[in-house]
Amino acid sequence: MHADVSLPLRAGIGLKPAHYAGLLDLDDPRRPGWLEVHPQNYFVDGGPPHRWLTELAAHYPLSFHSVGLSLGSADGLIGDELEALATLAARYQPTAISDHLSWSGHGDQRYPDLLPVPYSHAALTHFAAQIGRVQDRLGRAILIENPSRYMALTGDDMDEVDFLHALCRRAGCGLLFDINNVAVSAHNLGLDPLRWIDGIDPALVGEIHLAGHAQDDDFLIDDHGSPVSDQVWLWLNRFLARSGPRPVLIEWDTDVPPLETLLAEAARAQAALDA
Amino acid sequence: MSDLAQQQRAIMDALAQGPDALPDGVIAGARDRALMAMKVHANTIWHARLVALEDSFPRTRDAMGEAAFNQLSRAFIETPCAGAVPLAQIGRDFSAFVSAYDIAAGQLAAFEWAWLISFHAADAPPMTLANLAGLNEDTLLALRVGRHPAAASLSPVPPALIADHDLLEGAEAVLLSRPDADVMIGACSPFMAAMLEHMSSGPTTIGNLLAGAGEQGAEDDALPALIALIEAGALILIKGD
Repeated sequence: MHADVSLPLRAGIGLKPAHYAGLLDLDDPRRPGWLEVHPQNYFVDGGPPHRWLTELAAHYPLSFHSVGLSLGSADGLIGDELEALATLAARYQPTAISDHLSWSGHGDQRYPDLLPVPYSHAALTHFAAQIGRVQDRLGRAILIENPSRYMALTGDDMDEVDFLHALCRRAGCGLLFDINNVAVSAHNLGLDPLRWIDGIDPALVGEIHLAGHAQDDDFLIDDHGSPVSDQVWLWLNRFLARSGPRPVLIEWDTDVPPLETLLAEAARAQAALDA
Repeated sequence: MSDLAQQQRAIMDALAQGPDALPDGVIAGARDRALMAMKVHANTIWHARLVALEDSFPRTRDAMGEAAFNQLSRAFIETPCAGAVPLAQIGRDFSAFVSAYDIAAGQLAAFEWAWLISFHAADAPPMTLANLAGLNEDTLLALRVGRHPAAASLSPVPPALIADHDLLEGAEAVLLSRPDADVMIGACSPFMAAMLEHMSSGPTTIGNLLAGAGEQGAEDDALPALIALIEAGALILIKGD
């Protein structure tokens, strides 16, 4: 199967409120190819955030990158998050929608984090069923992002690449391939990053994420608070050599820099796409 | 309970109760390394919740001072209600929690939460005085109006707010409205607050609003209160039945 690559084959950036006006003021040649939005930030009825997003949506293709469906929760995804996402998607008609291979809640508890799921056959069946619920509700295929992992679980009985491939086959979804997450997971778990870079099926990849990470003790932390590392840029080039152009996003969510900094990172990603 | 549910319950227990609650056999590899990994997740969750409170209550934080605010924030996120809502809603019960320790700070936090609700409320064109121009008395009294989605009254007025808003000096309540993009802050008289409360269950007529004030022996104050609400953009015109 092939992922639906609907976003422009260009570099995009994550949308931050501090950059609303700046993005609208940019001349066409300087505009990023598309914008990624965390839909949870717009799960409100109205007000200035929606006014800005409405205006930006008239100028940029949007990708909705959800962080709250909790697809891996043993008791099923969070239903009100799905309904809010469906309502927002109907309003803005984003070009792509994605979420994570993770869980963020169970029972009455919600966690602002992306917790790991085991790579087991039972988890695969459960996760694929939850993706099916989302895709049925949204009426479209979604993309699933490979996580940044800090621990391996005892239930892991296949590796992440095999799990992701099986998941896409089973659920009919595509992959959002986060190369920074590969750097983080491979370092933290002592795995070979090239297993992902050379092993992920490019046909499944509908979007690529790049971000910076921090180091704390012996762990790499996926904090999205710094420039993309040189190693991740090299792996992007290596993957693109196999895949051809894909939509590439610069993520920067903490200590958000001026728009010019993000545009410079996006220009570097665009150069990799154009090479 | 499925293996997946058992595993997630064990991780939740460890997040809530600390590393001693993490049983062996949940996370692969050495226990020391597993506990360090759990600490990364716990820090991420704590940090996100604390930042969400900071972002929701900047004035309360300034008024209390960083140390006192952080102390209360850390205590608050240990409560069950803080973990039972999406991050954007984490401040919903914060003002009540703060009030138990610092009444003035709690009032300010309540204002800031009401401000956020107004900021994110549905957009709607506010009723204006021009809507009333040329209407005869019967038509005017039969006109159906509702509370604008972004309008709210809050009492008492937080003392820290008066320093920045002279017009709140002596006011019994704060009026929040957002007729356009910006949230407006104004004084809210008891009759204005009563009219907003009257419309909390749904639209009514101008005649009913004025009659309600009249029942309180305040006929002379009713019309100015209505006009003040309209001028603040706190009402919407209901068209049709």
